[in-house]
Amino acid sequence: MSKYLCLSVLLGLALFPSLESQAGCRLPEAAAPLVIPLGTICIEGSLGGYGLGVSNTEGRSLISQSLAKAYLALYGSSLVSLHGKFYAKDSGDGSAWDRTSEQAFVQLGHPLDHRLYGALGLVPMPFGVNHDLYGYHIRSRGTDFWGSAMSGFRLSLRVRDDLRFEAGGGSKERQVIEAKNIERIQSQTLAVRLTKLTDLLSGTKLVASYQANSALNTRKLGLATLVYNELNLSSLEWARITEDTNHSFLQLFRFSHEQILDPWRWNLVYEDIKDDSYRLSLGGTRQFLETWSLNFSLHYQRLRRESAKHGGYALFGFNYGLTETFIPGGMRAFSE
Amino acid sequence: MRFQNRRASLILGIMLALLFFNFPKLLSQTSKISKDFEFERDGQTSAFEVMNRMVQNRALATSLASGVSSLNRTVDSLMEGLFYSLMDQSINVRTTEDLSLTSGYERDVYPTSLGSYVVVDRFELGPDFFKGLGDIRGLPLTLGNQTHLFITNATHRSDALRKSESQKNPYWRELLNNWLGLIPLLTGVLPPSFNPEELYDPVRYLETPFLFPRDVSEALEMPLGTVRSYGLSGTTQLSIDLKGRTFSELQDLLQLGELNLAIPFALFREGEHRISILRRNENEVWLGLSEIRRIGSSFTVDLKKTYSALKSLLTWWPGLPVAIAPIDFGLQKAKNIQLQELYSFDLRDKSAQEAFIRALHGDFKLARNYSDQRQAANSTNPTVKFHFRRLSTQDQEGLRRGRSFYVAQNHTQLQTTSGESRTLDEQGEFFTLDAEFFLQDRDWNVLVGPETSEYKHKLSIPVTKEAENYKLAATPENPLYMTAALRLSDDFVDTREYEVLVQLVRRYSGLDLADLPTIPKFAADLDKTLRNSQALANPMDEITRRELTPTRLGRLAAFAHLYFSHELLLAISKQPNVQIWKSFAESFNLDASHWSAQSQSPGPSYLSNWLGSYLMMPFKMANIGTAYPDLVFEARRAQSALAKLELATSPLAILEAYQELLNTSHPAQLIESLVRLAGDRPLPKLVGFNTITQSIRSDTQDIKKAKDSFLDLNNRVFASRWPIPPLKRDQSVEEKLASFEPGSFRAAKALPSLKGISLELDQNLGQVFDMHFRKLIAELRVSNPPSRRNVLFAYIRVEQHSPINIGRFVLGEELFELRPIDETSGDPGVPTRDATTIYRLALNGPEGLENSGYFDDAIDSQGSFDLIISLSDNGEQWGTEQKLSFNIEGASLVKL
Repeated sequence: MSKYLCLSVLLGLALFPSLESQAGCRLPEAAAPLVIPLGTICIEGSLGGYGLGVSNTEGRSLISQSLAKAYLALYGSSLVSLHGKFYAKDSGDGSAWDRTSEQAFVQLGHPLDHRLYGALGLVPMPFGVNHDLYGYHIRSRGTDFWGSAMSGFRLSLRVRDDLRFEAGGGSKERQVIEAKNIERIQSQTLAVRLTKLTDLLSGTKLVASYQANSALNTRKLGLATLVYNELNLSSLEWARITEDTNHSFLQLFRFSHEQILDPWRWNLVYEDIKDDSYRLSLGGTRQFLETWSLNFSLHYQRLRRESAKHGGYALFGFNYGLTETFIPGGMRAFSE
Repeated sequence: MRFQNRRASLILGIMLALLFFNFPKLLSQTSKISKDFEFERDGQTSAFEVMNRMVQNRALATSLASGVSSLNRTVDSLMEGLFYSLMDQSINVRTTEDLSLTSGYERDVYPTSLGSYVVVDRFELGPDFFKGLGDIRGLPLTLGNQTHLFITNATHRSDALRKSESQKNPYWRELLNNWLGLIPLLTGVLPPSFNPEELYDPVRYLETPFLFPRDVSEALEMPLGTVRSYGLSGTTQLSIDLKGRTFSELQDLLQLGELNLAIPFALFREGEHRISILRRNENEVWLGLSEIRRIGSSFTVDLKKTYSALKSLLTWWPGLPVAIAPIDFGLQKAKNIQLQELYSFDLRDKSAQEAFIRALHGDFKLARNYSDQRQAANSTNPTVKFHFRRLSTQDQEGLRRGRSFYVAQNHTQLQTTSGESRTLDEQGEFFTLDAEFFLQDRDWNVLVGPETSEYKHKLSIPVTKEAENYKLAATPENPLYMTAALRLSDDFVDTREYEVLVQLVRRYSGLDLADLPTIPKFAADLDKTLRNSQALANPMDEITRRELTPTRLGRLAAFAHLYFSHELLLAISKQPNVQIWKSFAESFNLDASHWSAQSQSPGPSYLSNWLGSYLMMPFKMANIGTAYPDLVFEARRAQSALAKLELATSPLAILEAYQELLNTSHPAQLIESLVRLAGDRPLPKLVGFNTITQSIRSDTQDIKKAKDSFLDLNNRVFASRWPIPPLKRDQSVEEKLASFEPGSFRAAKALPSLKGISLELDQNLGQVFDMHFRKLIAELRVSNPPSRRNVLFAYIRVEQHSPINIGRFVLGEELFELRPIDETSGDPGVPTRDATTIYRLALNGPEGLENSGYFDDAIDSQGSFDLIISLSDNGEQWGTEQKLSFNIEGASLVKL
């Protein structure tokens, strides 16, 4: 037990970003319409890791992993900007770091200012909410549903103050099993999302989305609700994938809730894993100093279909978060 | 050394001089603020009482009167499914295939006024019989009978009462009342729609069958204002499900196969015998007898299905029932016969005790004898008093339509009643012809809870009856007028809704309400903060971005009450049709000139919308409204009703005309049109508001300002220049019946009322070493103070913006027993109720709030606080909560 504890403490660096970095870059003066000076740079980065203690019917084990994440943005003005989001992770087994460009795109127009705006490059499709509280970057069932970014475009139109329409299209290489052989094919995707804002509590969004993919004639349908209650955020999401080729479908239901009880930020997540199995997790993050945070999460999952399997794992870690905004003219805005 | 000593002496001298000059200031430095609660005009039988009398909580009144829960509980909401259903439990023991024995508990919670609720616990036991009788042309025919013995306990709940109980209750009982701490936790974590009163005090809930008093001492142990009843209710019905093959095919065609469709048509007969007790004051108990018989028919269309959610979570759990009901529609037509009888007993008297015990068991002979004797002897203070006996015969039509999607529900109930009442009161027998319209709209969602609007329009015509013929008996003392009442209640009001609600009250009453605060829709500083923090956010995360929404204000209740005299309506009826149509078009926000022209020479739009109003009727089932056809339908109906009214001379003809006028599905537009048509003619009106806000830590300055403006509206009453007409005899009966509704219960004596409060921050050097450098003293100016024991009960709660962002953060609460320090008379010539009594109490320190170390510390530093006060003269019945917000800045108090 003490071995696990020591390893957890030694290897335990937090995975999810600190509260500091979650607050994000800030513009000190943001009037309407927005004026973002040419050359404004936003950097958000975090470096952390976690110790993962797993307990299931196959026994107990301990895994450690490190993760570095970065988001960079360079603004020409509110009309045009460049954005990139990257992460690298080390599974702790001595192999090389796995580096991934999550997003890289040119943004034309700004969501706060313009009725119509869009992005071009490596972008995620506008589908669902994908309210991922932990951000572990571990391959999970959720990846199948929301998908990763692809080369393409995104367009958003604010139809009314309370209604937004988004469309996106792109292509990506994808592996499919064809006659027991794995083949790589180029698949095209088209997605649309409609978001309605209501006044309930501190703002509630109702989100409906649809996505069609040329590979396996896959179609996805998603319905979600996001609720802000002051600073607390809850989401409820349902998504369904239908594959015409295999005449099968999958569906997933997820509830997540973030509650701030200063100085802690708490997370509660329920997620379907398969039809009759689920994962339940409770996590907490506490910021200390300006850039460091301590975090933990406890996960319980039940896998009933295959057997009466159930197990749990716990993560403990520290995280270093960095958020800085550089504004030309000597202004340097720290996040608050 | 000498130099140093000299310098030290000089410094010491200066310090002593400074101390000398500042000593009085340092020794006792006082800062004072005060607030008056004078919003209610001094016509004290408060305007609110008048309005509450007319706009009772109908849902509760119905359930108390007939034992039938008028809220549709067949479709559960998420909160009910997850939590509240814990308090609705029943056991069904099947004895034969058709017969079963049912026993169960049920709890219903009704909001009465802001901040308080009525909790009704019900226990029942009895057989249920259902038998299929066969098919008629393939449609199943069923006979059902339910006969239940029931006992109910209805109590009024408020924060002050809860605190008062918690000080009396042992620790273990408090723990049980709060489900071992679960209720406070859920209240903090769940959205505002969660109402802890639904679960509070399970012990009292389980005691329900044993709470009905069996003797005098048990009756006198009942808390004041509590209503307890027992009785027998029964229903027999013969129903046939009209779904058949045609509707099944239609259901398949519309791809609604997953939902269950039922279209039952039923003939029913219901009956109930009920004895209710209300403890009025220390020695007086009211006892009411109610007998109801109803016979009628009902037609229902239900399209719904109950799914099981999360059933895989636990192996033994069947899952969470999730009911989805896109259509929930019902029509009911019935003939009601109702007998109500009311006595009061002063239980200090032996003979009254004997009569009371007999009446408890359903034998009213002795009570009648005693009251007759006392009345014959002209006793001024009878110990058994007969109030009234009323027999009403009514035709009733009801319409229910709603839909429920588990996390959001919408229900409309509409009821029209007309009939005759024969009432015997202390002055003798009198007759009235009654017509009443009632409409309740209720929107509920899981995030912010219910929003209710109720309209009650009522007419009672005083008549005499000779050989089955009615003769109008209206006199200046007992005038003929129609009352129109609106009650709005919303637990969660933001600035946008505030505008809508205020506009509705304004249009309904015709009062311009110019003094109402104008609150900016959005908080400018929050807008700026959100833009600052989100301007540089990743555009791909836009979906989780917090948007700026209208400022959330708090809870609001509004009342509007109008008195249309018969003469006024006759004057309206004489107006040309063009004016009537113009007024209705304006009320529907449509082109007034077009529709007034159409009323003169009907064109295609008139005719097509008239036809459309009938064609659209099936869509009303799904709550779909249409503006143009509705205008044509409503204006035509009102025009016809007013024409009939103009010609009506006999009471029955007058009743028929009013009935047609009142039978509307757009009550707000009808009254707005009538008010507009009334012009400058006398039309007494009364409008009132109650508001409650709740501050939270993240409130910005602009949000605080908006909330303060909203709070300024609390207890505000607006009246027209015409006096309210006198109370009619039948209304006096109604008022007494309303006392059986705990929320509207008013003691015979007015409760102590807080007229003003002064806060004094005393900074006393003499107490520096006592660790309580500052002392916060409250001075209460109270009217109607307790007279007998001279002890005033004051419930005091202090709240602050806290580091914990869950619900309100209470720094301390305490129940004080206060004695007056001074009594001042009001101005000469002003009625004595203007006299006020002064009470003083310390809020911090050893004599202040208990266990409030945090508050004591906060006073010694600085902070913003809300002081909430409620008063009582007996510790059981509490007045409304009043609030003073203040800030301690350095050594001074600042009123917020």
